[in-house]
Amino acid sequence: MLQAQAVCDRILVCLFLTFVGAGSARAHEHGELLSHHWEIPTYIREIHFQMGLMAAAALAIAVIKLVRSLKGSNTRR
Amino acid sequence: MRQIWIIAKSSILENSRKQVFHVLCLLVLTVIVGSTLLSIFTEGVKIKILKDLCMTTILFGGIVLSIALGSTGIPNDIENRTIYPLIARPITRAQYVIGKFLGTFITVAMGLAAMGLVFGFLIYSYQRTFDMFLPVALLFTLLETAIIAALATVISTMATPAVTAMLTFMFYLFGTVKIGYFAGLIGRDNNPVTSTAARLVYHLLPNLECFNLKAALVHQDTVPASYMVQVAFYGVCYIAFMLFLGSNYFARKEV
Repeated sequence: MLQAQAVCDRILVCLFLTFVGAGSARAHEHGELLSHHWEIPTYIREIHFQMGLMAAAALAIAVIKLVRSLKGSNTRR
Repeated sequence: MRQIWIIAKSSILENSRKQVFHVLCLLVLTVIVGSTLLSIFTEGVKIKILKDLCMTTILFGGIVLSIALGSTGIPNDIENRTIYPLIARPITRAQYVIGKFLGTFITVAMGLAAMGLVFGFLIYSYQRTFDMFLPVALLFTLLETAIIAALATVISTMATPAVTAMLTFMFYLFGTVKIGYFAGLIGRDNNPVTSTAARLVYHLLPNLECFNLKAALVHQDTVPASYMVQVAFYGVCYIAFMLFLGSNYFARKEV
C-alpha cells in the first residue's frame, strides 16, 4: 500500500513538472521545493536574517528616541 | 498591564458581537463536518484528505477573521469617536494598540479553538487515537493568524479598513509564497534598482510558510523540535516588532 502510494506520489510530481512547468521548483537550483520547508536551510536562514534585522531596527529606533529625549531635556534646561 | 487588559476585554466583546465572526466560524465548522462526506476514498487516503482540507479551511478561516476584525477595530473607534474618552484616560497609545491587537487575537483564538475541537473530535472518531501533533499544528496556525492580526492592527492605524484589509491580504499572500516563488523571481531580475527594491520588500515580508505544519500532520512526518522553537520565537518577535512600530506611529498621530 505504502509502496503504491510512493509510486503514485512520484507520478504526480512528474506530471506536475511536465505539464505545469518546473520554474518554481528550479528556483532553488536543486529542486529543494520538492522537500518540506523544515528540511530546506533557506527558510531558517531567512528567519535568522529577519530576526537580526528586527533587532537592529528596534535598537536604532530606541537610540533615536533616547537622543531626542536627551535633546529635549537640554532645551528645557 | 491592567489598562491593556481593559482595552482587550472591550475589544473581545465588540468583536464577538460582529456578524463576520459568527458567519465565518459557522462556515468553517460546516466545511469541517461536511468533509466527512468524502466517502469515495479508502480509509487511509480519506483521513489524509480530511486533515489536509480541514487544516487549510481552519487556516483560511483564521486569516480572514484576523483581517476582518483587525482592520476594523481602530478605524471604527476613530470614526465613532469612542477613542476620545479612552485616550483622555491614563492610557498610553501603545497600550491602546496592544490592547486592540490582544482583543482581536483572543477572539480569533476562540474561533480557532472551536474549529480545532471539532476537527480533533472528527480525527479521533476515524483513527480511534488522539493525534498528538494536531494541537502543535493548530498552535502554529494560531501563531500565523496572530502575525496577520498584528499586521492588520498596525496597518489600520494609518489606513482605512478597506486599504488595510487589502494590504494585509497581500502581505499574507506574498508571505506565504515568499521563499517558494518570490525568491526565484528576484533572482531572475537583472535591473539593480528594481532588484534592490524587491529585496527590501522580500525581507520585510513575514516568513509565513514556516508556520505551516500541515504536511507533517498529514504524512505524520517528524519536524525537528529546534526548528519549531526557532519558528515560534520568530513569530513572537515579529508580532512584538510590528506592534512596536505601530505604537510608535500611533503615538505621534493626531486622531
